[in-house]
Amino acid sequence: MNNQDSRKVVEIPKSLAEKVDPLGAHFCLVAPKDKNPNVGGKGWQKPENLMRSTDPKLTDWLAKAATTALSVASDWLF
Amino acid sequence: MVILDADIPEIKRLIEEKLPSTFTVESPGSQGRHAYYLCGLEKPIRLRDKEGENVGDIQGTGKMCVGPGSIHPNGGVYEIVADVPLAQVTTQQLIEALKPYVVPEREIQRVEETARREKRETDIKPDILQVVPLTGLHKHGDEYYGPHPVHGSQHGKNGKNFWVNPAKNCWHCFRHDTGGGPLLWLAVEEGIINCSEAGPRALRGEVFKRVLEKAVERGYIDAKQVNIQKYTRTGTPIGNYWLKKKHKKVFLVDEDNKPVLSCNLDSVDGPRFKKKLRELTGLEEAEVNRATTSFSFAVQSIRKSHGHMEKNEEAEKEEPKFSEDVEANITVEVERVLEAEKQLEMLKPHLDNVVVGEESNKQAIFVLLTSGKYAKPEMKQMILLKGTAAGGKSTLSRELTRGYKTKNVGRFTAHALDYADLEGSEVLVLKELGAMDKEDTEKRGLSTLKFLSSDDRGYTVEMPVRDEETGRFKNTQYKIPAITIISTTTRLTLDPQFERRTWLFNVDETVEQTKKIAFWKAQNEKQKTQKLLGLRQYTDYEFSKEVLKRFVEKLEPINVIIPFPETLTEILGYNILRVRGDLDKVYNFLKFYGLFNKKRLQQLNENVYVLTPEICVEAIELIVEPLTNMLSQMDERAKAILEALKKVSDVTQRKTADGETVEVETKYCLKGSEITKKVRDRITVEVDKSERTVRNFFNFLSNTPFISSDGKKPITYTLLVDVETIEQKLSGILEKLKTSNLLIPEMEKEAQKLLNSLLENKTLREGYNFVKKNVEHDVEQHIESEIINPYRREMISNRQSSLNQASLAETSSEDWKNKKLPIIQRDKPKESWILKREGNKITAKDGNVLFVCPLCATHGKQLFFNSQSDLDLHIQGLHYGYPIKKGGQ
Repeated sequence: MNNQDSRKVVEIPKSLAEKVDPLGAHFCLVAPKDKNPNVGGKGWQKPENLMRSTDPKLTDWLAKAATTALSVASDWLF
Repeated sequence: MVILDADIPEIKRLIEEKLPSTFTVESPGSQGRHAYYLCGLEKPIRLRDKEGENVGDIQGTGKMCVGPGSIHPNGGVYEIVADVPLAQVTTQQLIEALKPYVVPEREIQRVEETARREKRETDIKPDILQVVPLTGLHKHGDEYYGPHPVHGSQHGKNGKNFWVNPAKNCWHCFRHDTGGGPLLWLAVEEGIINCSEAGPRALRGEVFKRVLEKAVERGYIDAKQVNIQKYTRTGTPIGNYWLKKKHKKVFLVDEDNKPVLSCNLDSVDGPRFKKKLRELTGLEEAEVNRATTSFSFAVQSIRKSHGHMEKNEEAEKEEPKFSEDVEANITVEVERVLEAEKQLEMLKPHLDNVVVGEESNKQAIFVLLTSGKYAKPEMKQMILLKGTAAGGKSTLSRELTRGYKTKNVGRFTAHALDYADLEGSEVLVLKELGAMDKEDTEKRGLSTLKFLSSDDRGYTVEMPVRDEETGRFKNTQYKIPAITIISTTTRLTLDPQFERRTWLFNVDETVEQTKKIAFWKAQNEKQKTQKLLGLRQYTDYEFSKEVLKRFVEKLEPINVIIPFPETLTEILGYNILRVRGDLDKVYNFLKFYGLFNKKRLQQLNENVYVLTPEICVEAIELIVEPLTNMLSQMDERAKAILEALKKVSDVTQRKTADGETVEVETKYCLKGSEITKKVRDRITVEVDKSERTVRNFFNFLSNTPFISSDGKKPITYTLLVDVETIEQKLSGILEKLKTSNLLIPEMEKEAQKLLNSLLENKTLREGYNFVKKNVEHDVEQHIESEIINPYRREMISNRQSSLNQASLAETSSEDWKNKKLPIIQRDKPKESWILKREGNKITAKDGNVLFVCPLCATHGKQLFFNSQSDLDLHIQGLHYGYPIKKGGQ
């Protein structure tokens, strides 16, 4: 287990994006130091809360929040 | 894509040993692993250890999982530990690999059904989240898990032996395999019952009363709205009174439990008692009748259940107890059959051991009975065995239904139809149907039953019920849920409505069959003796019976596509099919037959298989006889009567114009022949049946264009066509069915065309140039601009995959069945997204508009487009334009 610096910027590993993007998987925001995907209210499954790996909203979130996490959401598209 | 979350080292080991290597992430929390697979998982799979603790799960569509690079609440990072491509696996592979830990689907279904039942039967609906204390539970997706709030977990606060599913309003204890709805939880939490007792029938009598009182106390339900006495009082409610049984008397008691009326148990259905009930309760006749019927039925069921239990216990005692090595032999044999490419062929020796002769009949019936395993109502089949008394019908029905959850009904009565619980049964075994075609119900009494109609939800049947006032019978309609029915009859003709819906099988009543049975009985007797002397451990019959039973128990339905419907209709004959239902029956049979040849079918995705022409021809060969009977409305005995009619002739002496006397033979099989009572009597002798049977047959034929009748007594029939014409029609059908193998190339051609069109719905066909040219540009643009439009993304998804997939249009006809076909993906938008549908146009709640292809929809596929012009292009390219309507020609 790595006890990482809490200020470390989270990045989506390229190899993950390469594998899950073609499958239609999406990402959603997860609260810092938590597993709860309902950031900013309920409904992580709502389309407006589901993003591609390159989505600016997601990258901004990862850069700003520093300690945030990300989720791989398998949605109804596949 | 699915993700297997393994929380313990044992599961991690099983993944490494039994599943292909795949992209894997390690969680910094419990050193658990997330293994990513490509799999068409339909429902999540839960994993638990021997103590009932949750040790992982497999989640798929609609779920989320924390991905690599994320930071755990403890500060650790989710690391990729195996950076390899995602491995493709099947659900079965996953279940097999993790078998010791998989929570059986039937257990989850039982818990959910208990919750549904609680809601249905009590009509009291507290919310599960209102009742279960959530403190100490963690949220996992839409569910909650944690240590059991009453008996706790071995792992203390970190335990995971208790789950709550708010969507299904149920809870589930993994330690005791129990669970149900909110009231059942209340019973456990209040200590009224133990957690281990929380099963489907736990909420009864005094327990239920106490639970309701607690629910009122806690404010979950309003005391004013719930009449606790209504739910907990024993007896049958009738207005503001109750009917109660005490010894051999029946009492009507008021709300204070004081008796106000009584009668003997046998008189409860009598007109005098009912009249008094009407006067006292002030209820209508129908309501009183319903209450007394319900009361009588309850009394009968209690009696029956006692008798039934005794019978079952006896049967259990009679069941041979196999030794361990015999058990192992049976298991190996069942596995061998399940693994075989041609399962029915492997089962044939076993079918021979339990049913003598009846070669194709027993196989076809065995295949048709699998419809009992399918949940879809439209798959349910009705099977009717026709033959004379003691002809072996009941044996066939009894031996072939082993392994299914059967409901045996001697005959339908009004009571039975009102209260028989058919919903939990897979097959309804109906003994001797009776005179379903008779209108003179007064003479026939309660066994008379008439099928009026059927739809996907079940069958409507009509039943004569005696009117207490007039003493006459009147017809009442009942609804039976859709269920696979197997029944027998000695009648030659039945209600045509019923015949249309059934598979007709004629049992073999030949002398050869009798000889076979005699020989088989002798063999079985010999083996029994050997067993008694310790020379063998079991008889062939016992062994095969057990193998068939266990095989049936292990059968799991699959979806089979028939890719050559048009050629199939050609084989069956457009003009002969009377109702569309006939074709549906054949389609369904082919699908069931496919289940026995699963390994030879082409698999499209997880649970969808494609039928091959060879398997189709095999299946048709098996049902040639019942199909011929079905399509021509004739059965074997009817054929015998026609044959006898050909043989009957009279020789009369006539004088010619020259004054010579010559002998003239009069035949009765020619057009215009009159079939009088005398002729019928001779046929009766010829076919060895009763005159009534023969008359019934001609009566039946007089409804067809073959025969007319004068309606007098005794009736005389006139042949409108000669017998040979009728027979030719029969043999024509037979010939067509028997040579169905000649149409294999046609089937292959049609199959390839259909499959290609299905696949191209997801990819893009070659001629679809306009879109193809712009595909790459489109993809990027849409990713940028329309990411939140789910429908748009789907189109992108389709287009992306089309870039990587070669068109299958060039696939040769020889190759189609061998080629590994790509997975057909689902592309239907969620119902919850849809605001309204207008023809092909679908408007989403967020204002987006979609167009669905009406022509693809006829193939059971849905393909969506963003504009009408896109749809037009698709139709021009793929379907070669809109079809011309017949009316417009």
